Amino acid sequence: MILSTILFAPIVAMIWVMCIHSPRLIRTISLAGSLVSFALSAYLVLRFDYQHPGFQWTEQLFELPGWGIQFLLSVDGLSIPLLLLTSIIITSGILVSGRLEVRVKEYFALLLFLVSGAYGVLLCMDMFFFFLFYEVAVIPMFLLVNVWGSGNKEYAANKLTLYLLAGSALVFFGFLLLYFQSGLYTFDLGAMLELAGFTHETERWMFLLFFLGFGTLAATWPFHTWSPDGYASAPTAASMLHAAVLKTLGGYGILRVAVPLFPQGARDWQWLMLTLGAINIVYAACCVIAQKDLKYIVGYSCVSHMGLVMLGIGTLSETGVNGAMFQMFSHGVMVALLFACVGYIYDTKHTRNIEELGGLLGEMPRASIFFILAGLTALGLPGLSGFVAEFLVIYSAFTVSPLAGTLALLGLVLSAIYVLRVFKRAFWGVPLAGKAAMAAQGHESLDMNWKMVIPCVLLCLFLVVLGVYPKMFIDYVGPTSTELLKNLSF
Amino acid sequence: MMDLNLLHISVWANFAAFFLITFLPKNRVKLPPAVALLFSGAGAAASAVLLVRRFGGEMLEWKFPWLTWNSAQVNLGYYLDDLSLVMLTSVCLISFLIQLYSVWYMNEDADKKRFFATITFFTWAMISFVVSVNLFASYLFWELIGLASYLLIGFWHERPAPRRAAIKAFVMTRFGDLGFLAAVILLISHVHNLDIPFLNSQAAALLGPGELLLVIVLLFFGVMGKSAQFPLHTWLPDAMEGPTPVSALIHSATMVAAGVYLLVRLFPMIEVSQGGMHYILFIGAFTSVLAACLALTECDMKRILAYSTVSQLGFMVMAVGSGTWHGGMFHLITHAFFKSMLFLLSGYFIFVAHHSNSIFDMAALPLKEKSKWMLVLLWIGALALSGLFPFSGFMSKESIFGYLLETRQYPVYGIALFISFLTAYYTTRMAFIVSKNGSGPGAGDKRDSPLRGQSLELRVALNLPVTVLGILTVAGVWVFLPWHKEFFHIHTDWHAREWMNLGVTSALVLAGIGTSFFYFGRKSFSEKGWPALIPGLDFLISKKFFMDDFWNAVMEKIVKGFSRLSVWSDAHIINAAVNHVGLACVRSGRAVAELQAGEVQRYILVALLVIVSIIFYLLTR
Repeated sequence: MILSTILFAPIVAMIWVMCIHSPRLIRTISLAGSLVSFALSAYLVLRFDYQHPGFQWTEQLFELPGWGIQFLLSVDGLSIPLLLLTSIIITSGILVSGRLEVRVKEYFALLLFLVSGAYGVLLCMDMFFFFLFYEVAVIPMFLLVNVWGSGNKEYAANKLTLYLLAGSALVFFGFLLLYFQSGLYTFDLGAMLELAGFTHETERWMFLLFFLGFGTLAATWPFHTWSPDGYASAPTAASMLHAAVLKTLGGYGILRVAVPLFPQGARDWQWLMLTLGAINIVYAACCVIAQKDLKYIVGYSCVSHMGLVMLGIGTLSETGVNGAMFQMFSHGVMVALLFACVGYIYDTKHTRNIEELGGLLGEMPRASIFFILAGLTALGLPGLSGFVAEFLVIYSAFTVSPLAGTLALLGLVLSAIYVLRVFKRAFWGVPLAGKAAMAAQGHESLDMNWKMVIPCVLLCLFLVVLGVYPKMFIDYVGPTSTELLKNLSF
Repeated sequence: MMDLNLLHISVWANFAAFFLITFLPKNRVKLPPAVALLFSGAGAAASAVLLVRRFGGEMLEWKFPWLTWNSAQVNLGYYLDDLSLVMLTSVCLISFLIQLYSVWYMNEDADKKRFFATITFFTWAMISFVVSVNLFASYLFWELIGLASYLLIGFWHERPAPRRAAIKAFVMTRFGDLGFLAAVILLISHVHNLDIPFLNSQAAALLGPGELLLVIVLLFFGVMGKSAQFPLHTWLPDAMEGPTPVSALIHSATMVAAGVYLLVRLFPMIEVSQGGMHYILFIGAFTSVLAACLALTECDMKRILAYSTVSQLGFMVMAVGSGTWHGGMFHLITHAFFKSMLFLLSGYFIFVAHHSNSIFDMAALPLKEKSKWMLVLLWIGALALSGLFPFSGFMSKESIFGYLLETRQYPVYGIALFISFLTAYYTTRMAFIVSKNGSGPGAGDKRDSPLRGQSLELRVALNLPVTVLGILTVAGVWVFLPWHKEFFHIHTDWHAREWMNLGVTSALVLAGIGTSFFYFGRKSFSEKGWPALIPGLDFLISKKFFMDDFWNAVMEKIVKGFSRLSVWSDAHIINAAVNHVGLACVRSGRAVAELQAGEVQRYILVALLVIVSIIFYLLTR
């Protein structure tokens, strides 16, 4: 019951929201729906026996026997942290959308639909529904960008949607190939893992197919350009959710499907994962240095951080995969916080160009401190969660490829340069608008009110707690990553 | 158990202050300094008690696992032996005094809360670094020290110069930190245990000589960044843009001291590699001479002190590289006391000179009448920095000279003497010029004190720290001599060699002071002194040996160049390809749509073509 409640709570909330008119009630119900999932994910996190990895909760709702399709939900140590992440992000995403006035009902309904897609991908262990829910997550994004977006939004929405559809089409093609090639005629991933055996040749090409498909979803270079464009145009909560959760689903897919099913293929293409991961880190970080739009800055830095996930998976070592999982979680929280702050700044100042901003620390200290904390996570400051993830990934990258490790290290300096540049331009200095403009607006404080502060504090807490005591997380996912990689060691 | 609790107090007191100050209400301006002083005072007291109780005793180790993965474990905890104990006490004491001074210095500033929160955080990070049991944990705090210094250097962020200086400091030290992190990774993958006692006893044996050398070179890269060694030294003079107490803290007990302390901490491991030691020695000596040259003609008081810090740090690094960690450490401690005093004094003089850093502006002031005590302290600090008997700098420098002579490292001895001469020259140049006692505004009016209108607490906050530091500079080493001479390997049984050494070094220091007197001590004095006479030297100094230009070029040309390249390729290669694929789809769709234009003739044509090709296919099969 728990799993299906997590999945259906947002859907029920969405249907409810579509039937009512009061914006106030709409917000409350959306929040309630997301809180239900949040509470249940937290329950799963606490009750999960991490020493014995594997699927500890399983629910089968129905099946179509003739087709080999079943609606099977189950969770293990890989999906539980991501479930928690998703529920945190949607809760804070709903909370920070408090100032939205346009088409409130449709906006919240689409957000809830989007998040139910994300939950579905994480929960379903049946490849048919896995794909179905991914599409469920992609389509609302198109509408969210097109209707509530800003800037060159039509182009961005088309690009993002087509890219993600192309990526998931590759994945679906792979699923069909598995269905027929394995001779099992089932979409059940668990059965596939147990029974299927492929030749080395098949594994090689199947892995590449899945890697490219999921890699596109994770914005791997050179298939990354949808991501900064899309996030720059998307409304705040949509970019939070997409950058934090849907992007990590790419990494999740590789860990869930590609690596356990095709271990020999993974070995064959290890060089590709390492190379693309390292390129992602350095290339995207170089791109950030020249950006002026805050959302593009966050978007490219997000691409750069996803490179660490790819690099960590590419090491095919337990430490690397632990690091990648840590990075997925920590990056998700961090990027959501960054987008929340940027969205707030944009709503207040009506510009995101860092050259037109300045002195935000004086003008809106709370929003600035949240942004600075997330920025420090992005540059890998010890004591915040990003550092541990980066360290684990870079450490294991060094053990397999010193070159990739060195490039990832360079990323640390580059990220320091771009993060501090933003601090310097936008947050430090004298407010450009000046006190006079503030007074003209009727002495209104520009800073976040408590409704905005709560979600940001929630996100900050995760960054700090995981950074100060990372052992918690690593102990938690360690056995799971061993389990995921067990096919590799023969 | 008692000692562990004391250690907890001295480490966490400053953090508690930071935490409390962060959550204080904004309008209570008196509270942040009070909280900071209360807590860091408690920390300093605890550390002093610890020093008394434990010095010379056995070491204390306390740790717990922080992060484990399949092959390695990282512990957090304390490792308290005589070395970290001495450093701990110095850091606690000096930062307490500096925080006290900050009460005076920051009196006018509106944002006391942010200042005291950051400075206590800074102190906490440094203390944690000093007592850390594990090299990985050292790296954590090392980075936090970097962050705190970034925040403090850029404290007055409304002005552009501090913003630039702060970024420069953080990015350059981060660049060095890459080496540190790489060394940590290399060590973990070979040794699996980064506890400092373990590293010191086992690492050299577990690593091959080549790997050990690599580890040392990489580690030293980190030291270059933090301790401002060539070629990563250029951030330190720029860091003068921060508030003066911050400069005092950065230049004495925290931040730059971290690098040298790290070398000393890992000395048993580093010592094994002959090549590594030579490398350290060479970089240290080179930095020391270079920075001393830069200080020769500088007119900004804080910058003179900054270059002298770089030079003295190079001197310490050189000492460690030559094999005497005792000498390096001893000089680190004595230097911390007199350099922080000199910086605090510079803050006072700059205040008196109406916020001008120029020593010539100070020369125009009637300081002898108004600030006699401060001038006396300035001379004490200057003479200690020069290394004149009986000041503390003399003792520590003597210990290095003595070692160099004893181990017959004559070239290094020569370089050290040369540095000593330059140091004596430029330090006393500063002191001579500042104490010129010109007849500037306010001369003759006895009542017009620079501190007019300031309350008693503020005067105490100003005078007490510098006086305590001054007393320690003169008498400290002698009072504690019987106690610490064992630890710092100080000879007290003197023979001909020691006396000869004393003669030579004192002669050079006096020569330096004499030269300086010749140019600056008399009625008519020059601005630049003898360096102006050497062709090219003045030019090179004014260009700072082109190091700033070099790093600007790296930043502007290489980093920004790569950045432009990536953006260009994103726009013109990747996105162009993507857009063309999109366009191609649209065009092909349009082309195919033509077939459905509703023209019957075309349909018939297509149908015919299809039928013909089917017939053709069937016939040829």
